[in-house]
Formats: sequence, C-alpha cells, structure tokens
Amino acid sequence: MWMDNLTRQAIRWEALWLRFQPRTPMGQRAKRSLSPFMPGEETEWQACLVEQEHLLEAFRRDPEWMSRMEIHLSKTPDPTQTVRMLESGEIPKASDWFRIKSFLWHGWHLCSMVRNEIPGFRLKREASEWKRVLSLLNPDPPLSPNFFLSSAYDSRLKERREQVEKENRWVRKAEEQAVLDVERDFPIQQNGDGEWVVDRRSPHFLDMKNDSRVQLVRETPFDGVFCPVETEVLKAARMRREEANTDLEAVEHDVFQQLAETFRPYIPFLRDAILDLATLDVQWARVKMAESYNGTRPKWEAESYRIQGGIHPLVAESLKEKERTFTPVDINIHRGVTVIIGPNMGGKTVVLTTVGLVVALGQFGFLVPARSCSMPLVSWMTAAIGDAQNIREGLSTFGAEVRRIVEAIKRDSTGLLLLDEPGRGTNPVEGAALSAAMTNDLAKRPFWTLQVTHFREVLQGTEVTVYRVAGLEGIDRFQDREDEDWEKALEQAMDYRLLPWSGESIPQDALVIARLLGLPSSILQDAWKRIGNGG
Amino acid sequence: MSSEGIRSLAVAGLSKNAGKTTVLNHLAASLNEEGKPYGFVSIGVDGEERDVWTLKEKPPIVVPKGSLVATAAPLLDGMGGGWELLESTSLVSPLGPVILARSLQGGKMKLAGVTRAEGIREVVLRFLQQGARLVLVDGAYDRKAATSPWITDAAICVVGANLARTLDGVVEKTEEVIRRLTLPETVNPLERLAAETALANNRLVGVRDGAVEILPCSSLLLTEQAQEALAGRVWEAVALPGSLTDRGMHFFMKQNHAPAVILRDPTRCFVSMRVIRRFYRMGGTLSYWKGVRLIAVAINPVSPEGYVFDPKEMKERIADVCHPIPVFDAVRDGIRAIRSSLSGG
Repeated sequence: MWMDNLTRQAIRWEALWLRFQPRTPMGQRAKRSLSPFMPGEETEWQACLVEQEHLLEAFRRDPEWMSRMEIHLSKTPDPTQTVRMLESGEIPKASDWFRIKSFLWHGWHLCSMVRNEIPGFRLKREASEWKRVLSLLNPDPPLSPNFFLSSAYDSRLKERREQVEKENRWVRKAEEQAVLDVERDFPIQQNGDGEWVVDRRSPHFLDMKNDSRVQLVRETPFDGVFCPVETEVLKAARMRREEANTDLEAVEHDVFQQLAETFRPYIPFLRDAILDLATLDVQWARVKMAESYNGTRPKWEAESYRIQGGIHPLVAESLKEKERTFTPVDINIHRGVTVIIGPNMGGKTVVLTTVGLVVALGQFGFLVPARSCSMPLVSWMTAAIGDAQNIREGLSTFGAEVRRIVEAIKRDSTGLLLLDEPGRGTNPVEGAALSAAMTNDLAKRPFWTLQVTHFREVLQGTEVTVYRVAGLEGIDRFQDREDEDWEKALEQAMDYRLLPWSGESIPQDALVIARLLGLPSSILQDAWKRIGNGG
Repeated sequence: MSSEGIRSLAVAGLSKNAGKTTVLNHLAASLNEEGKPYGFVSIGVDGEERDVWTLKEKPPIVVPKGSLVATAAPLLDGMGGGWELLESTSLVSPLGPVILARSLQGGKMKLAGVTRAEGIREVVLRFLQQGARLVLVDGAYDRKAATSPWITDAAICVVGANLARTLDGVVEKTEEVIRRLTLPETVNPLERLAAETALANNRLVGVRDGAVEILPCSSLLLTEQAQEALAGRVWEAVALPGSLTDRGMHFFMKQNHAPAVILRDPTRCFVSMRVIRRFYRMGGTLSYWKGVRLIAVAINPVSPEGYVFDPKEMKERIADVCHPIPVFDAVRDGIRAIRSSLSGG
C-alpha cells in the first residue's frame, strides 16, 4: 500500500478524491483501481501528465469543445456486459445492441475530437476504426446513435414486415366491416377498447342481445358491454397475421444471430475501445479536478522535492470562507531530514499536510496544486500527524506515533515520512532526547523525512535542513485591545512563510500567543521568570 | 393542448384501481387521430394486476405509430423489432436501465422503470428534446408527485367507483380532493417571494409591514419553536417549506390573527376541507406558490369489488362538484367527446 488510511486521513485525501469523478462507468471502474506511479515509471508518469497539460490547454482554448466532450462522456454507456455475451456465444438483444451502438457513437466522436485537438493523445484505436465498427450497426446512412432492426440488415425483413402490414390491413378491414355492419343498424359507437357499452334501458339493448353479429361480454346493473362476434373472414385474417408475425420474429432472430457473428471478430477492438475510453475519461476527470486548483505538472527530480507556491485546496477553501487567505508553501526537501520549527499556531502542521497532498496527487498522476513542483517517485508515503490516530487501538498519542515510525523505518525502499512533533506525547526531557535520536537515525536512512518540532535538541549535532515559520510581527499593537477577535489578530500578526534557518536564535512566541489568547498577566509574568527572562 | 402551453400531462387516480390505464389508452387513441408524436411514461409500480373496467389482466399501453416511450430495456427486448431505441437515461430500475424508444409500427408496450419524480422530470425533458408535442405521465395513485406542477404542466384525475362504497361517498371525497387541488395560486408578489424564500432556506417565512422575514423554525410540527417564532406579532402571511395538515392549520387558528398561508404546491396540502372552511371563516386564506392545472376529471363507475354506479348519474354529480372542470367517461364517451372535453368545448 502506497499510503495507509491514517495518512489519507491526515492529508484529507478522501475529501479531494471525491472530487475526482470520471463520467463513464468505465472511468469510474478505472478510478477504483487507480494506483500511484512507482519508481521506474517516470517516463509513463510524465507522459500521463503532459497529456493532461494538453487537455487543459484545449479546455482553455476552446470551451465549446470542452462542453461537447463533456456531453459525449456523460452519455457513453458501458458495453462490457454485451461484449461478455458475445464472448460466451450468446446472442445480444435489441437493448444490448443499442448499448453497443451508443458506446460506438459517442466513442467515435470522443476519439475524433481528441485526435483533432491533441494528436499525440495515447489511444490504442483510431477514429476510423471506431467509425468502421459503428457502421456495422448502421446499415442505412447517415450514422446515428439510434438502433433499430433496419431492413438493410436482411432483405427478408422488408418482405416480412410488408406481409405483416398487409395482414394487419386485412384484419382492420374485416374488423371495421364488422363494426360498420352493427353501427349501421344501431345508434351506437365503439369505444377505444373496441366495445359497445349500451345502457340497459335503451330500446336496442334487447335487440343487440339477440343479434348474432355481437356478443354480450359483460353486464352491470346499468350497462351491457358488447363486442363483435368474430366472423370467418376475420378469423382467417387474424390467423394469417399471426403466421406473418411468427415469420417476422424468426427473421428478426436470424438478424440478431448474424449481427453477433459479424461482431465476434471485433471483440478485441471493443476491449481496446473500452480501455481507451476509460483512459480518456480518467485523464479528463483528473484535469477537471486540477482545473479547480489551477494545477501544474510536477517534474521529475531524483533527490529532492521542490515545491513553490504549494497549497492545500481544501484548507484554502475553508480559509476563504472565513475571509482569510492561505499562505502558499515554498519548501525544498532533500534526502534525509528536513525540519520545520516555529511558533504554535504558525501553520507548521498545515505545511506537512500540504506537502503530503501535493506529493500524493503527483504520484497518482495528477497536476498538483502548486506554482511549480519537482519530485521523485517513491514507494510509500507515511504521515504521523495529529493526536487522535490509533485511539481505536487503545494506543496513546506517544505509542501510536512510535509505532508508525517503527513501521516506516523497517522499510528498505524509498519513501516520504511526514512527522508532526515526534516526542511531544511524553515528558519533555525524554521526548526531546528521543526526538533528537530519531532525527539522527532518520537522517542516515535513504528516504525523505519532513518533521515539525519544538525541541531545539533536534537541531543540534545532526545534518538536517531547517526551516522556520517567519512568525509574529507587530503583535504589540493588539495587546491592549480587550475586545479584539484574537484569532483574527493572531492571523494578521502571523507571517506563515517558511524561511531557511541558519542558526539564529529561535523566537519564543508561545507566551506572546498565550497573552494574545487572554491568559492573565500574573501567570505570564511568572512564566517569564521561570525561563529566566523578565518579559 | 400544446397551444395552451401544456407539454406534459399526468393521469392520476384518486384511488387504487381507479382506471388510469384505461383512460390513458383512450387518450392515446384520441391523440392518434391528431397524428402527432406523443411521449408515454409511467411512474411507479402500484401493484394493479388487473384492469378495472375489463377485469382482464392489466393491459399494456397501446401507443400509436411514432410515439415515444420510456421503459426498462428488458421490456423493449420482449416486444420485437418494431421499436427504434433512441437514447439511454440515467435511470436504472430493478428491471434494468430505462431507455427511450420510438414505436415504428404502433402497438403495445408495458411502461415501467421510472419510480421517482426526478426520473419523470428527466424523461419529460428528453421526450421534449426528441420532439414530443405532449408527454403523458401515467401516475400511480400512490405517486402523488406525478401531479406536482413542478413535474408536469397539467393533470387529469381519474375518479373510480372504488373511492367509496356509495356514490354519495365518492362525490364527497372527490369534491374534497378536487377543491384542495384547485385552491388558487397566490398572485401577491410578497407572498410568492415568501414561498420561494421558505423553500430555499427550509424555514417558515413570515410577511409583515411589506417585508418578508425568515423565521427560526422549519416546521409547524415543532410547536414550541413555531409558537416562539410567530408569537407577539401580527403576520399578514406565512409561507411553509413543507406540508400542512389539520394540526398545522389548528396552530394558525389559535393565533390572534389568521394569516394568508402559502404552500409550495397542492401535493403539500393534507388539510381537510372542513378545517380549510373554518380557517377561511376566521379570515385566513390558503394558496399555493404553484398550483396544479387540472384540465379534466375522468370517471369510472365500475369498481373491481363488484359494484357499479349509474354512469350518467355519477358523471352528472361529479361534474356538479368539479364545475367548471370538464368531466368525461373514458369508456362510454366516444373519442370525439373526450377530445372535446380536453379542449374545453
């Protein structure tokens, strides 16, 4: 598994995955089995992404083309069941052929439209092949998505249908004659069911009862219901019509059988065509999602993740609802350990989840929410973020965190490990020591670790790349405003940008933030004394 | 009908086994004479196995040549090659996917597979895109939604003898339903705005002093909340987002001032006429944001339980209580009479 459920939860993968919606049943199936690109698949990965760039350009170039593509994709049915029927020797029925024809009709249009706009798009079958197979179900020009048993399939169809129609006319004529004969003698009119409803009190009720040309089929206290007696002429006409219908049905069966025989050699084409449409649909859905966050193509780089202007679209949307803005993430993560330090509420965890999401989207072949991005392909990604994980398993924050790190360092393949303040769940002395030792170990391993910490010990004596959150600025102007919205004040004062750290002193902002949040000054003064600073 | 802006017409029974299919077949035959393409769709499966009038196994719809139908694919497969399959819909039923087809020769077809009002809306739209002049919706009696003015443009109600054991009972019940169904559509712009706001916000919306006000309550069933929301002020009108029952109406009747009450449409009204009359006497009114356009009432004097009413008397008495809505007897009246009823002549 490339990433486990806890990692998915931490980076809010499922919520974004729901927005990735292929339009066709084939595309939905492909979505369910979609896997990330793995190391060694860099060429295919880039080809997939370049294709999406071309699609995105085509979207922007010609919105009408995009809407027509959308319409065809949304109407394309799944012919897989009918293909299976053909493979197993069954004879598809009218609705099965209709499904195949709709598939071919929309597929032909999609293939032609994509080929016109993006000649290099990876499709196994060409538009001309689609058209040729579609024509098999469209013996009468012009091509259409409709299906019916055209007489062009078999000359006998026309002949049999004419025969049925002829016998129908005879039956109708005989029926009409029988009705005319009766209605000439009685002032009545047949209803839509071909019956005469006669009031029992009417003078001709008894006459009709005694008339051999009609028979009483039902009686109520008020009415008698009559229908014509079947004459010999009518009986013979109906029998001939029945025979004509049986003959027609036999020919229709032959036509369906012949169609099945004609189509069996095209099963490989249909299989490829289904795959082509699934591929196109998945690419289309990827681009539609990436369009919503203005995605860019991640490029391949063997040793580092370089993300400029990275955003987490879901976090950015939540902030926008609160009229706040997301500060884009700029970060380079080299093989080994990269550490982020900074004040509480400085957005360090958001950086972790943003990096996790950008990387995961990239590996799954999506354009990523960043201004630019280059990254390696790795075999796994694990995030140990948040306090609640593994609570169901009865582990404490500390226990859960250690277990996930143990699982990660057991792996001998390349991967990305995202750690949110390791060691915070136990006492500070042991937590700091453990965190520093783990960092020291992780720095020697062949994968990438991005770690958020408060422990200075982590920064000492180990080869790590360090970023710090720029932190609080101009906070003093808020301190005397009792009625201030402190969350907003903090957000305004906080500079969430990541800056490379080169050994300068680390700002101690926790007490400043506590003051902003309204902690009494007596407590704060006591705290300042305890850390040896008069405040 | 198309000249009157009616593009979809529901045929709904006031009771089970009222005789909808018979009415629909007679309508189909009547329309056939006009030689125009029509669409046919049925909502729901209501368990009727036998036709009320003929007592034969319930017949399929008999559609004229060129008609459009929406039905489950396996039902089309069983009807031979006389159908042109036109397009798939997004609707899938236990019988199979629902497909639109055109009859090449005319003939019988069982209509099934569309079970929800949203499905009918989709099918009606697609029929119209395929060039249908009018779509006939066979609405199962327990699918009141078919008559919803949001789904179809107009409706025909079928009154069957089995609505009550006596003709008096049938007439009384018919009058109740028809009067409730044909309560007026409000023309007051503020009241219409209130109804629209109520629906959009799923809240009661009050009107007073020339303005609408969203109230902190979604239903009259939440009595305390509703009391609190409405108390102490005189409301000229109140729009509800959901249904109204006798209990809800009693709530308004207990207020100091009976307001104009507005519902989304008649399918949301479950108040008895007795209570509506009392409410009107107190100065209140009840109206709809969108009303049902009831173009005719069809009668069927034969009950499948074995009793029959005098057709003439039933038609006359139903016509009295439905006036000015035309009333016809689909079985006894000829096609010309039905067409005359439908065109108001």
